[in-house]
Amino acid sequence: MSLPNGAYEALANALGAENVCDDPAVTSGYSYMWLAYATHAQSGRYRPAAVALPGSTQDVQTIILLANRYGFNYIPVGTNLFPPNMPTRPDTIIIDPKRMNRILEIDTESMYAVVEPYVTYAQLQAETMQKGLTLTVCEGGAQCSVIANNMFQGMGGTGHKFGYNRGILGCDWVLPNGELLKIGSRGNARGDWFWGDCAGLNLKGLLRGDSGHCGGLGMVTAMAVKLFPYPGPKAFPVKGANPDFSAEFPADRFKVNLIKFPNREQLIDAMYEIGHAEIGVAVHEEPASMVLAGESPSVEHFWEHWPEFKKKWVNVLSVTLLGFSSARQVAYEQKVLDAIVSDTGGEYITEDSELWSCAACNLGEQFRTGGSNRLFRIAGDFFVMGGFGFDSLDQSLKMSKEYMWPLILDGIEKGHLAPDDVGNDWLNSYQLGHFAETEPLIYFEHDLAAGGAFMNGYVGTIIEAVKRKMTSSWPLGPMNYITGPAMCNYHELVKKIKSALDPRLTSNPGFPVPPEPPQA
Amino acid sequence: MSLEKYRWDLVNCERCSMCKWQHPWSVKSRERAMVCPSLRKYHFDSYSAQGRFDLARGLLEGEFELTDRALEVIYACTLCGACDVTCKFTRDMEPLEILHELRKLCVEKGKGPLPGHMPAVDSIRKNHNPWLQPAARRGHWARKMSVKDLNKEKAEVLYFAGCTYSYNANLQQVARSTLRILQQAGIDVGILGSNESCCASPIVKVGMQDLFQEHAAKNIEMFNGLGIKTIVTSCAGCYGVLQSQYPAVGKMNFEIKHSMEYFDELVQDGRLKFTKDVPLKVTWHDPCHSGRGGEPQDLWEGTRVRWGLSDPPRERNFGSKGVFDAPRRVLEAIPGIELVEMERIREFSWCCGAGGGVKSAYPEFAVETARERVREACATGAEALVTSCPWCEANLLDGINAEGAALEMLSLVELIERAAGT
Ligand SMILES: Cc1cc2nc3c(=O)[nH]c(=O)nc-3n(C[C@H](O)[C@H](O)[C@H](O)COP(=O)(O)OP(=O)(O)OC[C@H]3O[C@@H](n4cnc5c(N)ncnc54)[C@H](O)[C@@H]3O)c2cc1C
Ligand code: SF4
Ligand code: SF4
Repeated sequence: MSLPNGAYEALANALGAENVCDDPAVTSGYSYMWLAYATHAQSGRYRPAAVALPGSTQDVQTIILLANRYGFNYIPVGTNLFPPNMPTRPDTIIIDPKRMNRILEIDTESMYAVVEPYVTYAQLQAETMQKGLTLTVCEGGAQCSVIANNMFQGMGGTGHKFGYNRGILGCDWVLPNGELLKIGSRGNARGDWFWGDCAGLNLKGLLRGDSGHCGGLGMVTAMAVKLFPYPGPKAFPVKGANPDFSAEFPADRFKVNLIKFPNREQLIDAMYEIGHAEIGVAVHEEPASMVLAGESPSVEHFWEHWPEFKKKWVNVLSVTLLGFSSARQVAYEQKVLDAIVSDTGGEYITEDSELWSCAACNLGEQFRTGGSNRLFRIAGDFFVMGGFGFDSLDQSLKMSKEYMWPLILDGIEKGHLAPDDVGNDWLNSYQLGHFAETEPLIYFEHDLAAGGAFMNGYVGTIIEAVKRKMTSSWPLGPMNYITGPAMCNYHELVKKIKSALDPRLTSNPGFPVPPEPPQA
Repeated sequence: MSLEKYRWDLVNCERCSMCKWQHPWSVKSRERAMVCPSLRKYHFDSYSAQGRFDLARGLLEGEFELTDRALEVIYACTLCGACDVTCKFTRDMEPLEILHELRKLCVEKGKGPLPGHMPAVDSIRKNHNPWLQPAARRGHWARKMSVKDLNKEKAEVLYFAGCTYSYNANLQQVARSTLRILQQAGIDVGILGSNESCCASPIVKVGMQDLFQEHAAKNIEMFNGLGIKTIVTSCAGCYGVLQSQYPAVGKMNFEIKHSMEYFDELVQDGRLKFTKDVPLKVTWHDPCHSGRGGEPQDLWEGTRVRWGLSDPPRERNFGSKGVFDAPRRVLEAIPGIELVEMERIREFSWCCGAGGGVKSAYPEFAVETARERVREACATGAEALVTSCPWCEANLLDGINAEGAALEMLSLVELIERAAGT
């Protein structure tokens, strides 16, 4: 937990003494992560050597140049929720963008917004809604950084309509050698933000694929993101008081449908049909645990209601309709949906039923995630059983049923995982059903055995996805050595890019791919 | 170490950052999304509940020592409890209790309170008030009033003025007005005069638990002996500590009401009538300790078992059942008043900046926080910022002056007096 001689002073000179700190009282605030105990057994062992607070792109360039000169490492973060942000080498600093928190522009004509790294989804959407525009908010919560989330995942309810990884436009990107690269139309003579592409080849592809480089290739200091029309109230229509909030959108423009199916196959058929008919803004299967957690003000409430609820909430599809242009759009889409539901054997959960009231926050959550972290309420820790993510709806279902759920049931039987044996996933349609992503959610306690069971399962699902010739996703750092050989050895190319852009391996060194495969 | 009681919370915080912001659905702008004054000022995550959890865990595990910086991280926090409300929306944790525990630990280790806190602490020991004023002068604010002396007579209600309203020449008017209104409404009310003693809130806030226990126990014994039904106070700080901390010290045979609640009842049952127009556009500041801190705490002693369930089951305090509606109802009942709301209100109210010993140890931070609130108030177009807490009033006034804002700082009771024509 120390920097090379002179490095700290150089940082303090450049940024101002108040904007750098190496005191454990401060660095400890960046040392501890959910899940990380599974791989980094000892708490606190990985405190960063220091934390730096840049105030501008130029400050970020300075930090990165100093890292190269003095030979220390850095990890850029957003709100810092994500485990790979935890430093594992003693000479690593965290670049915390708290002072870079401005919305630089909201262009209502070209429908984009430009943000700095510490702007959250809730902040940005609050401003865009005032101008009749919105964007997909990630399920990690609207309190996450827009840039950081787009750099890593960027998945959320409305991705069915608005797309996945389609929102990044012009960017300012400080490369690991300290140079500023302007991506897309940002590079034109006027420095425009409106487009993510540019003439000829586009280096935007280096920012991320299914997921991001995890801070391994420098830091994006400003990003333009795509906005979409939003026909609702200027302020998010929240009602109620902590811990029971509801959202009341105008019913003629915003409609959520909850539909029960006899089995998951029929549910998937309906998802395909919905995609083919190009209706809906958010379409996903929602597992009982997620829905009940979303409505639970306490862990006690969850477990009290779970035994009954899990019997009732099975194979439920949530379909949100949005009248972008008119109320008639909703009426039309509802008719189409009615026909699909009837053809595929679904049955609506009616608005006067008890089950409906158990999903009261469903509509609001599609637009601005506020309660997803309640998943942690169930047992303390939560994650997704699987490093498999994106494929067709059919393949997603198959992988989930044949491989992931047996693994989960085994974990439950061994007492590692909380007893959610319903067998439903959070299964999302993206880009009108063009592809899907499935998340069998698991809940466990903060102990090494449970964490180990999760980690083994995670790696196991990646190996299995590879065997099945599927598109496994989120292979973080060393896991790329599993997926790479099955996918044209992309990891070798990524390693070359890493060493070309970051020859001194200063930018979160083990990411996107570590130089050597893991020992075990 | 009593931090041990919170080990489950400390190891299960997943750094979701909910504690730093209003609940996402309540966010109305970029500018006023944040809810933690300490993080806004100091920027490092360590100055949020999440970072303080990490600090507490590290101290619990013996990973590092209480450095001077650690003391700053611990004490540069207004104990406003906003993090407690927002964390609890998703998690079953107790940020505010943990922040208190950290301070107790500092005191146990001989590192706290801070030098800036000591004049007030010593004065409470010596004079029973934090303002370095002689105890004998405590009742002077009421010397020209005719009021029952509960040291000698019986009454149903004790009006507990609190230290700041008793001694601060600019604020004493609030105590006098409140007492006058209660008397005019026919309430059987009295005061303790120079025998009233500090509620000890400033002591418990800096972590001096033993001294607080001693002080609070004496107060409870005296109050219990008065034969009163109700204590009414105009100070949110006194109200908060009487509501949430005193029950752990001893049984009380009376109820506690903030004057806002009492006024509201008087308006509702027609004993307080507004006859004069007060043409003013106002905005209301919810004091932390009567608002989210005004909701009673479950004095839970237990453990966390499988899946983090609490055993015995704990009733959580979500901060939304404090005194929020009463002042708004009173304001709305005053003819001519137009109430406009700020963005961060009720359980998500932005702290005035004075609490938790911050005003004495980190005065600059206190005023910066107040300035942020003043800007928020100005954005509503209000002509006056109204509240009912001497700490908030004094610090927000500092904020108004520092901002050079064209905003009047008023106590609720001043408006009531104008409208009642007393
Ligand atoms: C309950 C839960 C559910 C979740 N579900 C979803 C979901 O449905 N969809 C989804 O998209 N995500 C989901 N996530 C994961 C979440 O997306 C990520 O954790 C998210 O990015 C966190 O945002 P952050 O601001 O904390 O990012 P951070 O954790 O700070 O950063 C994320 C990554 O990006 C890198 N990074 C950050 N900023 C920059 C920058 N400026 N330049 C370069 N690299 C940078 C970091 O090094 C890190 O590797 C979920 C998380 C939780 C806890
Ligand atoms: S809200 Fe609670 S769980 Fe989340 S980071 Fe803050 S303290 Fe931790
Ligand atoms: S009590 Fe207030 S100042 Fe302290 S950490 Fe919580 S929100 Fe921040």
